[in-house]
Amino acid sequence: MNKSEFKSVALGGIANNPVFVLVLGMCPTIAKSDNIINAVSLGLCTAFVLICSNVIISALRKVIPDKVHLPAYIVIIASLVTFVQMIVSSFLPTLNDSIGAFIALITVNCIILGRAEAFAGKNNVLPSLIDGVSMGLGFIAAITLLGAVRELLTIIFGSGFFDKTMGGFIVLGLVMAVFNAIFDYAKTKKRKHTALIEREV
Amino acid sequence: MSKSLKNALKATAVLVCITAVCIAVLTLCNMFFPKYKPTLDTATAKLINRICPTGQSDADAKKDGYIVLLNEDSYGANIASFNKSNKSRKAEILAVYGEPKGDNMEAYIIEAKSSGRDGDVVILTAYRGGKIVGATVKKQSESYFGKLPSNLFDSVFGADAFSDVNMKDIVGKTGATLSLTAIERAVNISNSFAKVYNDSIIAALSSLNYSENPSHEVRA
Repeated sequence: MNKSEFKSVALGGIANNPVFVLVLGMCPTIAKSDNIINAVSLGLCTAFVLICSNVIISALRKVIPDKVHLPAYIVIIASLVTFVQMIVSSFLPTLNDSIGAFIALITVNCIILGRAEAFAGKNNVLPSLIDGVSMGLGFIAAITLLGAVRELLTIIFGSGFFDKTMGGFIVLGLVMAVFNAIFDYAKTKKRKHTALIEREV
Repeated sequence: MSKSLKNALKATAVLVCITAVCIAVLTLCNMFFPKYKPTLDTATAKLINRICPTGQSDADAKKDGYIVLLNEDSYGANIASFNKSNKSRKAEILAVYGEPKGDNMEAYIIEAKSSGRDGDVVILTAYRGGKIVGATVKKQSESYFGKLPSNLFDSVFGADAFSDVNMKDIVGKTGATLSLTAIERAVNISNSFAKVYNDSIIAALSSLNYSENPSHEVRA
């Protein structure tokens, strides 16, 4: 893995942010970003499953026959989710009460299956681990940002709209637009800068 | 053996192996993770004192042993095996509390849970003299819980403690059917438990001589 490949994988969480760019895993993102604690907790659980599943799937990619790779991935992901659920219900019962139902749904989160299919199933363990960490952090950052904005808006305008699903959709759309505008601006600026250097050379 | 058959067998074997390893790891983890242990916290004592008053303040009721958590051994029950044999009822008994002294002496309260629309609904049902004397929701996270009538438990007050109640027929359409079903299941599993262990729970409460030994604790 050379430096540019490392950079591209490590920055995948920003350039291909699972929430703001790939628009994956929207159900838990909107449902549990009503406050920052739920958002961070669900983000951490999802990131843990994502990292572990990427590593395990990558390590087993040569053993798993192509025709049954999807059921095998699902079994691995579901086992990891069950493990997370056991930890949360045993040690964090209060958290389990607030996000318990959505922990089970991590199994069918498109981000995890998407990364397993698109990256971990085709690459070595180390790049898959880096991809998992990057994407996991990207998801945590996105859902936390959304949770913070919604909680702030709920404090300002009162409960009943921004802490509900409809408010979640609107806030997600606005935050997504701002994220993509900033990201596009940065990308254009970098492209212009590179073109200028090339012209000077 | 044809190649396709070989491939099919290989795929099946790999899937079986992965599944077996996953199950083995999870079983091992399950053995070492701590299990749920009921405790009598201040919030629960307050709720119990509301539905089945001891005649004491909330703090005193818990501190002075007017409300206690009963150890299942003290009345000869095994909650885990009771829950296992009643799995089809989709509700579970969590704990039994008792009032060995006070205004409602020998009343006992059963805590049960059932799955609602958005998670578990935990219900406390109080019994005295073979009747339901109170019930309340201890915990819920239901989206449409507000649609249930505030006097929901009026329909079960005074009802026979040992037979099923049909809250849906009494309350009618609410817009929160799943939540109401969960409450009904929790009350009914509590009634079933009361039917089996009513006498032994009362005997266990009677045997607690709190006036002579006020520091005596009955805890799981």
